[in-house]
Amino acid sequence: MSDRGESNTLLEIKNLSVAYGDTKVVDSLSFTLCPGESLCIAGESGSGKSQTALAIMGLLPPNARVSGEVLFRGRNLIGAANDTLNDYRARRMAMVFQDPMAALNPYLSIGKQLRRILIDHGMAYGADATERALAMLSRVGLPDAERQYRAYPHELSGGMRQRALIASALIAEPELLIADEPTTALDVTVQAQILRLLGELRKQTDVAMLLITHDLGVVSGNCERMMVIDQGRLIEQGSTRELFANPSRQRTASMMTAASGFISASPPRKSAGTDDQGAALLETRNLSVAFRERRAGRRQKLHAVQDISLTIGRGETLAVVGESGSGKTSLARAIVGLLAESSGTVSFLGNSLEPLVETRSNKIRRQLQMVFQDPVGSLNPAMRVGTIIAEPLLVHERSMTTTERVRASDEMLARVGLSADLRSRYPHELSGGQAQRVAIARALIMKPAVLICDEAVAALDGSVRQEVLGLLQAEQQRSSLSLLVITHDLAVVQQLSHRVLIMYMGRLFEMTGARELFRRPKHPYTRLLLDSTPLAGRSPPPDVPVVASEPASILNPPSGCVFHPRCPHAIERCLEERPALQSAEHGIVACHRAQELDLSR
Amino acid sequence: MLRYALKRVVGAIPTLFLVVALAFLMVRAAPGGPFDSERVLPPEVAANIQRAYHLDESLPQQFLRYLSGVLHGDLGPSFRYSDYSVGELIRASFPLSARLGILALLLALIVGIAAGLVGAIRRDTFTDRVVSAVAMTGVSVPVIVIAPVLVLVFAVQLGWVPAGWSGGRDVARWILPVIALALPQIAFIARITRSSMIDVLESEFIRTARAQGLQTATIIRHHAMKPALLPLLSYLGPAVVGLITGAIVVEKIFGIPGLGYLFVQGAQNRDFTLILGLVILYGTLIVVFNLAVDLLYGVLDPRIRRR
Amino acid sequence: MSWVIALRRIVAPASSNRLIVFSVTMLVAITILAIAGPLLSPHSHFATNLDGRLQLPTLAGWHLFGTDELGRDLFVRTLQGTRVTLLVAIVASAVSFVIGVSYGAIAGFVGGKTDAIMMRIVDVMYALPYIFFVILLMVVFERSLVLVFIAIGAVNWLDMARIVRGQTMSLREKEFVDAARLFGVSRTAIIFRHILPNLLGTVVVYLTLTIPQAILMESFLSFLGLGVQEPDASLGTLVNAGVGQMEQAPWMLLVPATLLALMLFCFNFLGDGLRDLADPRKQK
Repeated sequence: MSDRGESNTLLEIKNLSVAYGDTKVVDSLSFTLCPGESLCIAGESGSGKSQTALAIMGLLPPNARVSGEVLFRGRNLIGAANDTLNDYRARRMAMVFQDPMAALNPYLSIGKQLRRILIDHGMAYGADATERALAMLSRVGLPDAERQYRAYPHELSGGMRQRALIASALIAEPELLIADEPTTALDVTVQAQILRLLGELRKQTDVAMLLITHDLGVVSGNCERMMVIDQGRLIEQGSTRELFANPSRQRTASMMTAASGFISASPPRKSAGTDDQGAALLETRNLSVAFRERRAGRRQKLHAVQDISLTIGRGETLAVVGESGSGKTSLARAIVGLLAESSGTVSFLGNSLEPLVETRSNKIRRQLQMVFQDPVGSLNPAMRVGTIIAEPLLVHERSMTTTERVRASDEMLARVGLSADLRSRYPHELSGGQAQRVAIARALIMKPAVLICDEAVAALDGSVRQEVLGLLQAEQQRSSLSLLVITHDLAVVQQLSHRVLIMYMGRLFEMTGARELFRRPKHPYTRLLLDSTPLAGRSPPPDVPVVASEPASILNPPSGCVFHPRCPHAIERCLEERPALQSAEHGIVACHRAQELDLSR
Repeated sequence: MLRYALKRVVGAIPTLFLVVALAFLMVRAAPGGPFDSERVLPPEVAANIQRAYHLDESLPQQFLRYLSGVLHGDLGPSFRYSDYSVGELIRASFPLSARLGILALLLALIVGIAAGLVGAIRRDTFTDRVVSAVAMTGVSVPVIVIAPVLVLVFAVQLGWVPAGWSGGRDVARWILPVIALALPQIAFIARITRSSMIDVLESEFIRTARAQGLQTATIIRHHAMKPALLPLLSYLGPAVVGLITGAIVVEKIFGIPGLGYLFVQGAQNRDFTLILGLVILYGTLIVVFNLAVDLLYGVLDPRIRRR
Repeated sequence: MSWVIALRRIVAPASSNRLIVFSVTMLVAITILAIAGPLLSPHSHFATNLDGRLQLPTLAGWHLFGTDELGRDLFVRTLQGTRVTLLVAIVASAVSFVIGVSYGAIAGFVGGKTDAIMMRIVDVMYALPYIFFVILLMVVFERSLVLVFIAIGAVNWLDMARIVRGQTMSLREKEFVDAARLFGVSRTAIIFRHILPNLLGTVVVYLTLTIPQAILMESFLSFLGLGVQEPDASLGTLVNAGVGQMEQAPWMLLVPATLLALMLFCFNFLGDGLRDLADPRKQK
C-alpha cells in the first residue's frame, strides 16, 4: 500500500453523520488532517466527539447508521469490509481509549497483548515480536520494561496502564493516532506526564494525532489546530492559538472559562459580613482517619488522613486540594461525622462534636451539610424531587404541614434555579446539573452554616459546572455560608476559594491564601500541581518528568517526607526525617527546604 | 497462589465434617430410631442387633466410631441386605454411574459450549434464536419429563433404541440415558456460555482488540475465549449436583443398576445405613469437586493467581 | 409512597414485554383452572372405578384427560397436582421473601462482625449438598406435604439472603444514604424509606427465579415417591405413574408432564424477562 501522493491529506472526513434511530449524534461533520499534523476535537459530553472517532476506526455498534465519507489517503472507509478495515487498523491508524483499565484485557499480560498485534498483522513473530514489544514498552517510559511485559493490567497503576495502551496503539507504527480523552481518568500530575509523552512520541515518529477531549486545557500546547463541536455539529475551528485568543462562539468561550478559570479570573474577595480573623466557625484539631485493611491475609492500618488541623470562618471558602488517594474525601466525611474510624476533634463554634453524626444533636447536624460528587447517586431513585428536597424538614421542622413542606421545597427549587415542574420528576429523569442543584437545595433547606462540597462539580461538563459554581457563590453571598470545597481541580479553587489546603497521601503539605498559592507556592508538590494543570494558551512547562512517577502505595508510605521519591528538590534529610509544619509568609507548609526554595515563576 | 490454595483446602474440611455429622445425626434423630421395626423381636435378638450396630453406646461414641469408619472407607453393614456392607454395594454400582455421569458431562460441555458460542457470535440471527429457544426449553423441562418422553418416542414408538437396560448392544443402551441426563445441562451450559460471551464481546477490551485490527477469529480465540468460559467453571459445581440427582431419575427410569438405582431402592426399603453412606459419598464428591473448581479458578484467573 | 413508586417502576415496563405478559396470563389461567376445575368436575381425585381403567380422554364421562390404572379421573388428579405445585411456588417465595430478605437486609445493613458471622453460616449451608439432606430427611421421617415445604423452605432463602445482602451493602454505601444520615434520618427510616424500596426490583426478580427451582425439587421428590403420598397427587407422582403405564396409556405421562413443563416455562420466562428489565445494561 503506497501513498497515492496526489494529495497531501492523510485523512479527509466529508459530511460524516452518525445516527441511532431518530437521534443524530454526529451531523454532517467535515474536516481534514495532514500527515504529522495534530488536530483536537473539543466538545462536552454527548457532543458526538467519541462517535466521530469510532466512526473513523469503523468501530461503531451495529445499530448505528453512518453516512458520509471517511477518506484515508483517498480511500473511503465507510462501508468497507471488516477485513479491509483490519488492514488500516493498527498499521495505519490506531486508537487510545479513555479508561485503560477497561480497554486492556484483564486476562492477558501486557506483553501478550502487544505481541498479538504484531503476529496477527504478520509484522513479527517469536523472539522478534517479543523484542519489539519490549522496545515499545521502554519507549513509552515504562520503567523496567521486562517486568511490565509480564504484568497483568491490574498490577499496574493508572498512568502505567495508559502508557501500556499507548504502546499497543503505536507498536504497528501507524500514521494516525486517535486519542479519545486519554487523560480524563488520570490524576492531574499523571495527566501532564502522559500529555508530555504523547508530544515526545509525536516528535519521534511523525504520527498525526487526533486528540479528543472535553478539557480545553489539554488542547493548548498539544495541538496545532482545533475544532469545537456541539450536538454533533462543528461550531468553530481554526488554529489553536487564534481560537484561544479570540473565541467567536459562546460555547467555546464558556468551555474556556471552565478550563482556564485561574489564569483569567483572580480568587474571590471575601464578602462583607465575613469576620476575617474572628473566631473559627468550624475547626479540626489533629483529625486523623485510619482504616483497617486486609491485604493478603494480613491486617494493616491505612492512614488515610493524618493530623489535619484547619479552621473555617463564617462566609469563608476553604478548598482542600489533592489527587486521588490523598485522603481529602475521608477528611470531609470525618468532619461531617460519616466515618467511625476517625480520631482527633472537630468543633463547631468552639464546642467539640461527637465523632459520628448519629450521636450529634439535631441542632448541630443541620449546621454541617454536604453535597456529593455523583449528582444522581446522591438522590434516592425511588423518590420524587419534591419529596427529596423536603425530606430534611420531616426531621427538623416536625410541626410543618404537608402543604408547608411542598411550598418550602418549591421555594428551594426556585432558589437553585430550577422550575417548580421538576418537583414530580424522578432523579433518573434529571440531567447531571439539575440533579446537583436538587442536592444543593436539599442541603440548603436546613439553612446550614457550613456546606461541604465533595468534588461537587467534578462530574459536570464545563458550562454546567460554571453555573453550579456560580450558584454556590451566590448562596455564599446571600447567607454568608461557609464552604469547604474538596477538589482535585485548581480551576475550581481559583474561582471559589479564599484559602487552600494541599493534601498528599493523607498529610497536610501546605495551607495558604488562594492568591499566594498561585503566585508563590511554598511546597514542591504544590509547584508540581500548578505545573501539571493544563492551562489554556500555555505549553506545559518543560521540566515535567516524562518517566512514570506516581504516588507510592498509601499502605506502604515512603520514609521521611512521603513526597521525596517524586520531589525534584529532595535532599538526604527528606529521606529520613518527616518534615514538621512550619509557618511561612502567608500560611503553613510541611517542607524541610521551604525557607530556601523559591518556587514562584 | 499457594496461600489461596491452602486456604481453600483447609476451608473444605469443616464442610466435609459437617456433611458427615449432619447426615449421621439426621438418621439417628428419626422418630423412634431407625432400628425400630414392626416385628417384635425377642429381647436377646434385639440386644444382639443393638450390639452389632453399636446402639448400646452413647451418641458421641457412636458418631466417633462411624467417623473413624468413614475415614477408613468403611461405611458399615447395610441395614437391609445384611450380607453386604454398604461399601460393597456402592463399589458394585459405582462404575456404571461414573460412566453415565462422565459421558453426560462431556456431552453437555461439548454441545453446550458449542451452541452457546455460536449463539453469542451470531447474536440476534436465526441461529441464535433457535439456540436460545432450545436452551430455554431444556432449562424448563425437568429430567423427570425428558427421560420418559425420550423413552416413549424413541424406544416405545419408534423402536430405534432399547427401552430398558437389559436389551440391545452396549452402545445402543447408553444412548438414551446419556442424552436424557445431559439435556438439561446442555441447556444451562449453552445459556451461560452465550450470555457470558456476549458480555465479553461487548466489553471495552474487545473494542480495543478490534481497533488493533485483529482478525475476528484471533479476537475470539486469544482475547474473548478465556474470560467468556471462566464463569462456566463456577457452574460446574451445580452441574455435578444436577447430574447426580438427574442420574437418580434416569437410572430409575432405565433400570440401570447404578448408585441412583441403589439410592431409590434404599429409600423405598428405608435402608438407613445405605442411604447414610450414599449421602456422605455424594456430599464428599460435591465438596471435593467444588474445591477442584476453586483451585482451577486460582490457576486460570490472573487476578487470583498473583495474590 | 416510595414503595408504590418502586413497584410501578417494575410493572410498567413489564407490561410491554410480550413474553412476560404471555407467561403471566398463562399462569393466571392455570391457577384459575386448578382452583375451579376440580369443583366443576363430577369426579373426585381419589374415587376409583375398576371398570373404567386406562380410559382415553373423552367428553362422554367427563374424563377430559382420561383415567388411570385404578380408573381415577385424570383431569381432577392433574389439577389436584397442579394445586400442589402452585402451593409449592407460594410457600417457596414466601419463605424466600420473609427469611431471605430480612436475613440479607440485616446482615447487609448492620455489617461488621454480625455480617461476617451471618454470612459464614450461609456459606456453610451453601457448600452442603442440601438436596441429599432433603432426601435423607424424607427417607428418615414420616413423609408429608408439610415436610416437603419445610425442606424446600429451609434451603430456598439462601440465594435471596446473599443477593439482598449484597444489594443492601451497596445501597448503604450510596451517597443518598449518607445524605439522609447527615440530616438526621433515623436508622429505621433509612432502612424503610431509602434501602428497602430500592431493593424491591431485585427481590421480585429473584423471587420469580427461585420458584421454578422449588417446583423442580418438589416434583423430583414426588417422582421418587419421597414427596406427596397417595391418594393425593402432585405432578411428580402423576409423571411417575405415567412412566409405569407409558406403553398402554401414553396420555397418563404426557398430560401431567406437559403441564409441569409449561408451568416451569412460564416461571422461567417471567424471571428471565424481569431480570433483563432490571439489568441497566440491557436497557437501550
